[in-house]
Parts: sequence; C-alpha cells; structure tokens
Amino acid sequence: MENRITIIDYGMGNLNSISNMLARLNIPSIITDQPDLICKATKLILPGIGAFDTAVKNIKERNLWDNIHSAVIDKKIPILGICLGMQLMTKSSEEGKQLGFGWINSDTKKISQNKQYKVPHIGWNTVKPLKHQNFFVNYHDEIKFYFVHSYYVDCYQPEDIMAVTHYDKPFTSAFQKNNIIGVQFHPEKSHAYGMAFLKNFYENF
Amino acid sequence: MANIRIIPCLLMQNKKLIKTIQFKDPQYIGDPLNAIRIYNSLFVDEIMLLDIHQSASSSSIDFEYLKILASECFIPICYGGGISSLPVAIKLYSLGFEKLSINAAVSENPKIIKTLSSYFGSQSIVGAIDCKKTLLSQYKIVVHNKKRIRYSLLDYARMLEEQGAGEILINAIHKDGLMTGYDLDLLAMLAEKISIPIIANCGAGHLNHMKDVFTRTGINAFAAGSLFVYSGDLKGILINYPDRQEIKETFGN
Repeated sequence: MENRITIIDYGMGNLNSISNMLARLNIPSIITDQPDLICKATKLILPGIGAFDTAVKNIKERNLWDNIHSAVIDKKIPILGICLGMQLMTKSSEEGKQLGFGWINSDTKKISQNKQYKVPHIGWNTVKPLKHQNFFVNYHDEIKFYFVHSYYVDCYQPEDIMAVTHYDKPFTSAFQKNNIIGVQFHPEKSHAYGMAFLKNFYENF
Repeated sequence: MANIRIIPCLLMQNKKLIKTIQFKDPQYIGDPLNAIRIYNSLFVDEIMLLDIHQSASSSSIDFEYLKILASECFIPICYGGGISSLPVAIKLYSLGFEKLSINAAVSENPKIIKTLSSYFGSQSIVGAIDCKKTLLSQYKIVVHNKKRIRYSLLDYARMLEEQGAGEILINAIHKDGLMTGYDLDLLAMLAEKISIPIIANCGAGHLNHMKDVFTRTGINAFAAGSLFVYSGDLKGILINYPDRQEIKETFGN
C-alpha cells in the first residue's frame, strides 16, 4: 500500500497546519475520523490541542479509541502523537480524570507556575536529543521547536526518552518506544526543524 | 536565552500590508502573502497578523484569502480582526491560525474570551488592549467601536486574564510607529500584576528597546511593526528580521 500519513481527526487540534506542512514536503496525507481508514493506515498522526478529558471523550464518541489502540498495539502501525496527542499516550493526566492509552510508562503532570516560568509554556525552546539524532536537524547552532502547553510528560523509563527540554525543570519533550513516538512540541509550527522531523517520521520510522 | 519571542506584527487593510504612526497615516508596505513568505524564510519566532479594517468595521472576513496566507505559514501565527463569535473563531482556527487575538469584541460581548478559551484552551487566545497615554499621564483604553470601557487599564487586563486569555497583547498607541522605544512605565505596571505572558507592542526601533523592557519588567515577548518593515534612516521598505546571533548578543545567553 502507498505510504501515506493518516491524520486522526477527533475534533481537536489544528489539523490543517499539519497537512499544510506535509503538502509542502510532498508527503501524501489524509485527515480522517473513519475507523477502517485508521486501521489500514501505514503511518498515523494523533494531533491534539485542548483538554485531556474532552479528547478522550471525543475519541470514544467517534468509536476510535479501541481502533487506535489496536492499530498501534496489535498492528504495530507507526504513530506520532503531537502535544495533547503525546499526553494521551501516557497513563493519566493531572488535567483530567480519564485514563490515557498508557502505551508509555509515564504520566502527564501540571507545570508548576512561578514568577519566571509562566504557564502555559509558550514559545521556542531548545530540544536535546537523546536518541534518533537523525530526526533533529541543527540550524544556526541550535535545535529548537515551538511549544505551547500547560502540562508535561513525566516519563519513567529512561530508555524511552527521545529528547529533553528545560523549562522550570527538565522534562521529556519527545519519547519513543517501539512504533510509538510522542512529541510535546509542534513540528508543524517549527519550520525547518519540524519539516526535518516529519520527513524522518515518514521516511525512516 | 530566557525564551525571548520576537514577533513581526503585520497590519492589514483591504489585503494590503500597511504601517501606521500612532494608529494613523497608514503607509502602504506591500503584499501580505509575500511578507509572510519572507518572514518564514527568515525563521521568525511567530507572526501576528492584524486586520485593522476588520476590527474597525464589521464587514465579513475573507476566509479564502486568509486560508492562502495560513497555508504559507510554517511557524506560529496569530490572527486578529473581526473575531466576534465562536463560529468565526472555529473557522479561522481550522484554517491554521492557532492563536486568535480578541480586541474590540470584548466591549460588545464581555464573555467572548471565556467562550473561546474554554473551547480552544487559553494558549490559543490573546486578549489585545489598545491604550493611549493621556495628558495627565494616565492610560485609557481605546476601542474602535467608540464604546466606553468602564474598567481601568489594569482591571481590564486582569479581567481578560480571569476570563481565560493565555496572553495579553499591549498596544501603546502613543508609541506606535515612533521607533523610540516601548512604554516602559506602562509595561512595568502591567507585568507586576498580570501573571500570564504579556506581549509588548508599539515603539521598537532597535533590539535594545526590547532588552530595556526585558531588563526592567521580565516581559519576554516583543511585537514590532516598523522595525521589521523599514530599513535605514530614510525608512526604505525592506522586510527584515535580526539574525540569531544578534538576538543572542542583545539578550545574553
């Protein structure tokens, strides 16, 4: 089957920004909420901006929860979770009462606010890769991505941590385990850095 | 580098890019699409696109045109102008504007920030304030639709924060286009009382003006218009942006 990226639409997140960037990279993609298309996908992106519980509810209402789980765990389809999409891959979130997919031994926690480090964490920040270096290009002597989030992922297995970023304290800005990648940053809004990341996800993962 | 954000602020009127002085005397700068492409290639931190025609009148937004602009933007972009309801906001958001700036609509509908931030999350909603320094060195809020605002500037900013704005954009009209520096007193007063990020706007003529604000107030997000569309003493039109090294040297590592 043609290698293309299937962007999961559950009514939350800026899907057009992702498909715009994929189009610029000449990567074929579709946006869908159809369970059969998700189960047959070659690559999945789970996007998301908004509240944790609303996301879980939306995914379940569309009859996608079990389908996504089976696509990722049984069929081992490569998946990239972005921002809230990453947080949904953890076991739970301090933002809500619902449970996440729990694919990665991790939890989603609230960033603690202080005078210097405001919440949400908005803006570009440095990303330090710990593995899969090829996903991260270095421009102008830095590797950085655009972040907008109030919660972060606390990843308990050091070997799953793909990259770290420092805000009020260091946190997991990307994790990877088997066919699963999650990123707290927004590659679709991180121009050349994001393009290199998505291109690698499409071609080499 | 303390997460510094430097944001070109593009003013649009009838699909033309313009630049004002103290919100008056619009000068034609160029084509918004072209400018967005150039800013993308210059790797700017974010772009802010404000349609001042929309905010002054209530004519309908040209979504098709905005869609073209958004599809050329691979960096964060905020749109403001004429966002008066949730359906309009949903449409803009789906085009690829992940931040929406709300200004005049608050005077018509005080709950709009709350409505939008509970739908999109605070991180997507910028509460914008246009204000002017009076002869008595007070600050008054200016709204396009000439409605009177019963809040003081500080109370108004607090109200936007309480309603769920994720950031506050401060436009100091009396500084707009002068390129002599931001209004430090104004920003210091707000930074002390407001806990969400503040975006300073109006007055930048040099990166050091941003450094001045950062040093005094801790504010780390700076919008500027003239600085990024003019070049040299004669103010020739040239879309530009400082390089990373210059920013690093200004703010220190």
